[in-house]
Amino acid sequence: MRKRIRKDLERYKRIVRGEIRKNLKELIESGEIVGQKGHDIVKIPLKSIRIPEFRYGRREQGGVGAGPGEVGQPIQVDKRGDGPPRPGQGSGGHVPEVEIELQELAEILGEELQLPRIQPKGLRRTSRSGEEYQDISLVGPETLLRKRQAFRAALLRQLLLEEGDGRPRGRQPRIVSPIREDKRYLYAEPQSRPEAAAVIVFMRDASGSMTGEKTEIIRQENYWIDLWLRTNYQQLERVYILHDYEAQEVSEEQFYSLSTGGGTRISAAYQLCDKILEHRFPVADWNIYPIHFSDGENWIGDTENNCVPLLKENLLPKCNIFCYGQVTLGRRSPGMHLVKLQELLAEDDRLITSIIAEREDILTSIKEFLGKGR
Amino acid sequence: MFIDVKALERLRREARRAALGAGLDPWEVIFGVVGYDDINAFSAYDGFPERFPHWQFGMAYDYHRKHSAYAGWWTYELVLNTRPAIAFLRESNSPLEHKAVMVHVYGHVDFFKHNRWFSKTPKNMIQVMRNHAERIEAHMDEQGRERVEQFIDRYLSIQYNIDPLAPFIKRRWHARPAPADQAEEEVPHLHVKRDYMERFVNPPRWLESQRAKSAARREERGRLRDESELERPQQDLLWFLIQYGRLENWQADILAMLREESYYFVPQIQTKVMNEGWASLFQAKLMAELAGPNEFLDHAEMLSLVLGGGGMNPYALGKHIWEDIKERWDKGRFGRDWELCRDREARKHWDTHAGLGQEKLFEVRRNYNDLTFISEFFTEELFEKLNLFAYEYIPDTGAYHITSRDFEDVKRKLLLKYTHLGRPVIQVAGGNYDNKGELLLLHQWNGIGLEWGQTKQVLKHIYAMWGRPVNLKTIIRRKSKGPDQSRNRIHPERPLTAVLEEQGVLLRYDGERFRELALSPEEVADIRTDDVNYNTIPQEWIG
Repeated sequence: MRKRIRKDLERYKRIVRGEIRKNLKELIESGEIVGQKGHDIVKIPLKSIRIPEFRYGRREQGGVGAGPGEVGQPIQVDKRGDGPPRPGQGSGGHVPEVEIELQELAEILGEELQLPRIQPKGLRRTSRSGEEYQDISLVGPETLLRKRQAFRAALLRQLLLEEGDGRPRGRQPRIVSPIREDKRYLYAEPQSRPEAAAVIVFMRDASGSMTGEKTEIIRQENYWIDLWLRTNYQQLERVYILHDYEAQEVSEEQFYSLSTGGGTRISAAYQLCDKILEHRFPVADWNIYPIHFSDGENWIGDTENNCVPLLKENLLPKCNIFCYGQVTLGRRSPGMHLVKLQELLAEDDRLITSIIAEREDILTSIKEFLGKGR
Repeated sequence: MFIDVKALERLRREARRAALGAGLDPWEVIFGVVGYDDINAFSAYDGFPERFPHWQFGMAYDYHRKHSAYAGWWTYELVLNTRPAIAFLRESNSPLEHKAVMVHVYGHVDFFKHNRWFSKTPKNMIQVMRNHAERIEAHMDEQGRERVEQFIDRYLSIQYNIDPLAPFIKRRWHARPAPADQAEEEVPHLHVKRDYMERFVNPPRWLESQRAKSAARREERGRLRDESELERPQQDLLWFLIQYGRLENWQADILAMLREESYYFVPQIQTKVMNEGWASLFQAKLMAELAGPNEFLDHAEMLSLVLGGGGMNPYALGKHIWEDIKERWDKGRFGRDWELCRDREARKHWDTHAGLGQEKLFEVRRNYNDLTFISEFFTEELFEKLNLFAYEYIPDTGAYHITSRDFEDVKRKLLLKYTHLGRPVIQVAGGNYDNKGELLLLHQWNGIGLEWGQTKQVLKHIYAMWGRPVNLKTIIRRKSKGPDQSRNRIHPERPLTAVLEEQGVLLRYDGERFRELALSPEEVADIRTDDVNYNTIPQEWIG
C-alpha cells in the first residue's frame, strides 16, 4: 500500500507543479496567494486540477443551513465540503484549492523564472538550540526528565540532611522523594554555527498618490521577493520604512495600510535605511536587500543632490542589491527619480530598477530584481 | 510501537458483547491497528489497502496528511463493507477511543449487513479492488501510464453517471437467454388422442416451418431489443459507452472494471446520513454503559466533536432523526390520530406508552435509504428543534441569503441533496441522434441548471469515449429584467433579484468547438421534470 500511495502522491505532485508553473503568471497577477495567513502552507486555486462532473450550478442550487437569522439576511456559506474527493462527498462547484508548502512554491518560482541560487556573501554566527541532548540542566520539560539522576540527587540530599541530624535510621526502608531541586533534565546546549542571514529593508512612498492598486502591486512584489529570499537564507529579518517628506520605521501592517498627504522626499527614507543598517545590521554579518517603491515623483533636486551621493557612498557598498521599483499605473515613461538614478549610477550593477505599469509587469519585475543571483 | 493485543481483544469483546446486547447483529469484524500515516493512506483509498493507480488518490492522501499534521484533524473511523468486515483503529487512540470506535464500527457493520440497499454489493471488494489495480497496472505497462491515467480522468468525470437503482431492477437483457443455450421453444400443435394420427394432424413439415418462423421471430425480437436500447433513454451512461462507445479493448476493460467500483460505492452514498446516525446512536447509547466513570466526560467531548458544527452535519442529522423515531414510536406518536391532531399542546404531551421504538428502529434500518428516511421521518417538530433554514444565492447582491424558514421549503431543499446522489439526472437518449451516430444526452431538468463550465469539460471527456459529436439537451435560466430597486423603499433589507426566463439549449461538442443551439419550449418538453419547485426565493424579492 505504501508503495502505491507514494507513487500516486508523486504523480499528483508532478501534476500540481506543472499546473502551477503553467499558471504562475496568472497566479501572481491575481494576488490569490498573497495575504494568506499561515507560514508553512499556501492554498492555490487551481481550476485545471479538478475532475469535471455533471453538477448542479452551485449558485442555483442553494442549500440548507442551521442557526439563527431572519429571512433575507445574508449569510456566510462555509466551504467545508471542499475536503478530499471521496464517494458521497460532492465538492460542489467550488474551484478546488491545492495546498502546497511554501518551500515548494518558492522552488517552482525559481524554476519558472530561472532564478539563480543566491550566493550569500557573508556568514553570521547565530546560536540556536541544538539537536543533541548532551548536557544536564536543572530546569526543563517533564518529558526530558532524567529519573535515575533525580533520585540519586534526592538520595544524596537526604543522606546529607540526615548526617546533619546525626540520627541513624536503622534498617527501615528509605523513602526517597525527589523535590524540585533534585530534578535533572536533558539539555541541548545552544550551538553557534555560521548561517547565512539576510535583511530586507522594504521602503515605500506613502504620499497621497500611492494608494489602492499601487499598494496592492507593491504588496505582491514584496511577497514574492520575500518568499524567494526566505528560502535562500536560514535567517531573514525585515525592516519596513514608510516615507513622505519624512521617513519612519513602521510595522508590516502599517506599511501597507498607512498613507499620508505630504510631499515626497526619498532621501529621507534612504537616510533612515542607512542609519538602521549602520546600527543593527553590520555589513560583515548580513546580506542586505533594500527594496524601494515609489511613483517616481520626488522633491526637486533631491534625487541628484541627496539620494545619489548617499547611494553611491553609503548604501550601495553595503547592499547585495538595491531594488527600486517605480509603480506607475498605466504610464510606462520613467519618472524623474528613475531617470536620474539610471543616469548617474548606470555603472553600478548593484542598483536594479524596474517599471511596473500594471499587474502584468509584476512577474518580469520580480525576475529583474532577483535574476542576478546576489 | 508496542501494541497490547490482549488489552485490545478485551476491549473488542466488551464492545461486541455490548453491541449484541443492544440488538445489533453485525458480521465478524477484523480490527487492524495502524499508524497515522497508514490511516491517511487508507482514507485516501476509501478504506481499501489497494486501489488502481491514479493521481487523485495522491491528492486525497496529501490532503489527509497535511490536515492531520497541521490541524490535528483525524479520521474518526474507517470500516469496510466486506465479509468479514474490516476496520482500522488509530494506533495512538486511547483505550476509551478504541472502545468508542469499536462500538461505532459494530453499528456500521450491522447496518451493512441488514440494510436492503447493501444487499446487492459484493462482499469481497478488497480482492476485487486489488485485481482491478493489477489489471490496470498491466494496461499501464502496455499503453503508458499517462495515457491510461488520462483515460481514467475521463471515467472519473462520469463515475456516477450510472443508474443508482440498477442493481434492483430486473433488466430485459438480464432475462434474455444467451444464444447458445437458447431452449427450443415448443411449437404449438394440436392435441391428438391416438398416436398414429399425430403425423396427419400435426404434419412434420408444417411443424418444421413453424419452428423456423418462430426462430426468425425470436431473432427479429432480439435485434429490435438491441436497437431499442440505442433508442430508449437510460441512466447508465457508463454501460452505454462500454457497449456502443468507440473504445479500444483496454479502454472498455478499464471502464467495465471501474463501473463496478462506482456501483459498489452507491449504497454508501445513498445511506450516509442513516448509517452515520445509526452508528453514532449506538455509540452514544452503549458508551454510556461502557465508559468508566472517569472516561464519561472524555467520551462526551469526543462525541460532541464528531456531532458538532450545527444541525447540518450528516452524523448529527441522522442521529437526531433516529432518536426522534425511537421517541415517537415509544410514545405512540404515529398513525392517523397523531397525523390528524392539530392541537399543539396535546401533541407535546402525547404518550400512549406504545413502546414500539426499538422495533421501529430496526425496521427502518432494514428498509430505508437517506432519501426515503428523510422524506418520511424528518418532521416539523425536528425541523423546529434543529433551527434550520433554506438559503439561496442572490446574484444581484452577490451573496447567499436566508430565503425561507418554512418547513416544506427546507425539507424539499434537504431532499434535493439526497435525491439521485445529490446530482442532476443525465440520461442517454440514444446513440444515433439526427441519424448521424451522434450521442444525445438529456438533462432531466428539475428547475436547477448545470454548472456550465464543468459540463462542457465533461462533454469533452465523453466525446473522447464516444468518438462522435456529443449533444446535451438542457434548460438554462437567463436574466430577462433587472430588479426594480425603487420597490424597496419600505423594506430596504430585502434583497431584490432579477426576473429570470427559461431557455432550452442544445449544447453540442463536435471535437473542436462548442455550439449552443436555442430550443423552443416544445422541444424541451420531454426534459422538464419541474413538478417539484426547489427554488425558495420568495416571490416578492423578484423583479
